[in-house]
Amino acid sequence: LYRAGLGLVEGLARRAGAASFQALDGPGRERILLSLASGGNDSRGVAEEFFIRVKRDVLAFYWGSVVGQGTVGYRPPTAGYPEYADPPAQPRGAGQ
Amino acid sequence: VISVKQEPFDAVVIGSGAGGGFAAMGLAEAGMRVLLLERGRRFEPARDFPMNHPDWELRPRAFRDTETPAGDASLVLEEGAPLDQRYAHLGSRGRLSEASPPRSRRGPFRYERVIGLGGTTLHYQGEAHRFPEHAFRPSSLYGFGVDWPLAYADLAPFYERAEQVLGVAGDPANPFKPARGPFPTPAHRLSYASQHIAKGAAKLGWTLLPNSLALPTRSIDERPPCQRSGGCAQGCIFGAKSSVDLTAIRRAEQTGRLRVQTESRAIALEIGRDGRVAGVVYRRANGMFRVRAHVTLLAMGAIETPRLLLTNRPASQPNGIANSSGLVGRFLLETLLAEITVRFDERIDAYKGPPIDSRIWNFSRPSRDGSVRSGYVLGVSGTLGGFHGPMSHALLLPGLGRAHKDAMRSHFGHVVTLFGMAEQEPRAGNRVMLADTKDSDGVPLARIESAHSEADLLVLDAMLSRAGELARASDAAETLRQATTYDRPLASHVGGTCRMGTDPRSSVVSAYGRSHDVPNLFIADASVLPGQGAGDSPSLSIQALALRTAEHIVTLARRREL
Repeated sequence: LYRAGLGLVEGLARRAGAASFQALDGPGRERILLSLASGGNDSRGVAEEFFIRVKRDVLAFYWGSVVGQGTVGYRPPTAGYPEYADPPAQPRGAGQ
Repeated sequence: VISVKQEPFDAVVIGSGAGGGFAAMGLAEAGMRVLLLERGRRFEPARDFPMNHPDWELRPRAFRDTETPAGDASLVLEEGAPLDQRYAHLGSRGRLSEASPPRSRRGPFRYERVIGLGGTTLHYQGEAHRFPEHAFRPSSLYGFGVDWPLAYADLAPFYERAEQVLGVAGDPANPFKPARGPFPTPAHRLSYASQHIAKGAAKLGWTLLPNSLALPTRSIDERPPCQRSGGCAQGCIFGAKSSVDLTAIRRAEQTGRLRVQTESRAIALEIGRDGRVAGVVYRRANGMFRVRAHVTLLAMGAIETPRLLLTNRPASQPNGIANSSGLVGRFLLETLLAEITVRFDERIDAYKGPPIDSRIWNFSRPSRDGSVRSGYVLGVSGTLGGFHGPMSHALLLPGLGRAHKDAMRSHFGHVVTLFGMAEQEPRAGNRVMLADTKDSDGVPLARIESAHSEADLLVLDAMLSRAGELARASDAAETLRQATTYDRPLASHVGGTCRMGTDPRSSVVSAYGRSHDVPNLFIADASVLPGQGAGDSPSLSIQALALRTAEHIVTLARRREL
């Protein structure tokens, strides 16, 4: 699925005039990925399945990590939350 | 081939949840030799529960998912009763996900139970409620449901004993509850999220109070106090939550008179010529076994207990064991739940603290104008509704890249669920029955046939409206979703399917849980509940009733009247 999906996004990137998917800027990449979800391409079945799988894997990798969790001020409850009744602290990097 | 267990037991208890664990403790502490059969395994909090890891939301659940085709199902998953379209506005929906087409029938029941030593208390959120006095006489007082065959005062000493064993934390100054002495441990401070919602409740003239919880605020029996991790439903990694395996069963084992046999599934009850239970047949991985005891207690919950009774049909009891009334399985009380998940602009971090740390009891009596005939209780939860840690938020929120990250920042720590739970109107037509499909042991699966009465629909409507009022009064920015049991039925707080009573024609067991038909058969689980305590959570009442049943059995045994 990944091989087929990556081939698909490369093709879509070239059709959009870019040298490769990697050469696109952030919004450009997002446009292509979102087009997979909305069926705006030729291989809807694979595209949609690839999009769902990639989105889930990326979200799991990032938000399951200490780095990702830190951006929203979360730490797992391995030491409990003794501060649970106090006003919450602003997460680091808030507003960025 | 069935092997006979030669070891002598005074009592066999089948099922180790709220009722079975406490019944076993009551019997063992009084000197009886008890065998406790549990279908699942024993859990070790530090080893088995996932929240010790940053990616805990991605790890497999500790408690196996039983109600799936791949799981060990007890229930047939099928569409339910037709929906009353006059109440279509109660339908479950989310703003963040794709709209699902309107339903014409109720969805399949979600059977939220845990198979393991301690039963569903392994994943419960520790709510430990004494039912209010009026909930024992709803028919006399309000013309609703049926009066219990015992009063609050009869149960109060057993409530107190159960609370001591659990180390319940609470505030005795609750004007909506019967007067009482101090709780075994002091109440938790309200979480920041509940403090926030309390201000909204006060604007409406309602009182948000600390919940009474089996989450002790100081060390009990060498267990640590509650660490406010919000992880009750995943299994408490600290072993602080007073689940039954860590409290009543541990105490009973310390007597030296309780034998716990896990991964042992009861398949059949054998009835002798004298009409008494002569043996219990159970399956383990290494074969089938039969055990005999003076007394058998069933404590498998309001679905599995009637399932076992209806499955076994000896010649002398062709309608099922203990079923001369024809009421085994009937008067099912399902869960009546309505909830909304809302977002605040400011951060409230509702995922921190006990998961349901506060309740509003202003509506635990029927409305004065009679429009809402059932009592209900509102609550605040940081972990209901599918939003808990970052991962669950990430999967629910739309968008990609920066837009998704922005959505995470405006949602994570900003979301809370407001909900209501009510008492269902008991009706004979709502029932657990046997399906044609059988499980791997050849036991028919259970089917649930249940529909809402007008009273049920009205109380769901009232709870959803009140939750919305509370959200607005608390200045919530938006509602993300609503979910109700109108279309998504839930079997978590279930009861009624072997109801207690004084008349053998209109009940299955006595006020002590003793079968009217089979003198050495007792039931000590939610099946016996004639009502649902005006929306309070049932575990403490099940535990108190189980202790009362155990005490009665000991009295009968001493008098040689068993």
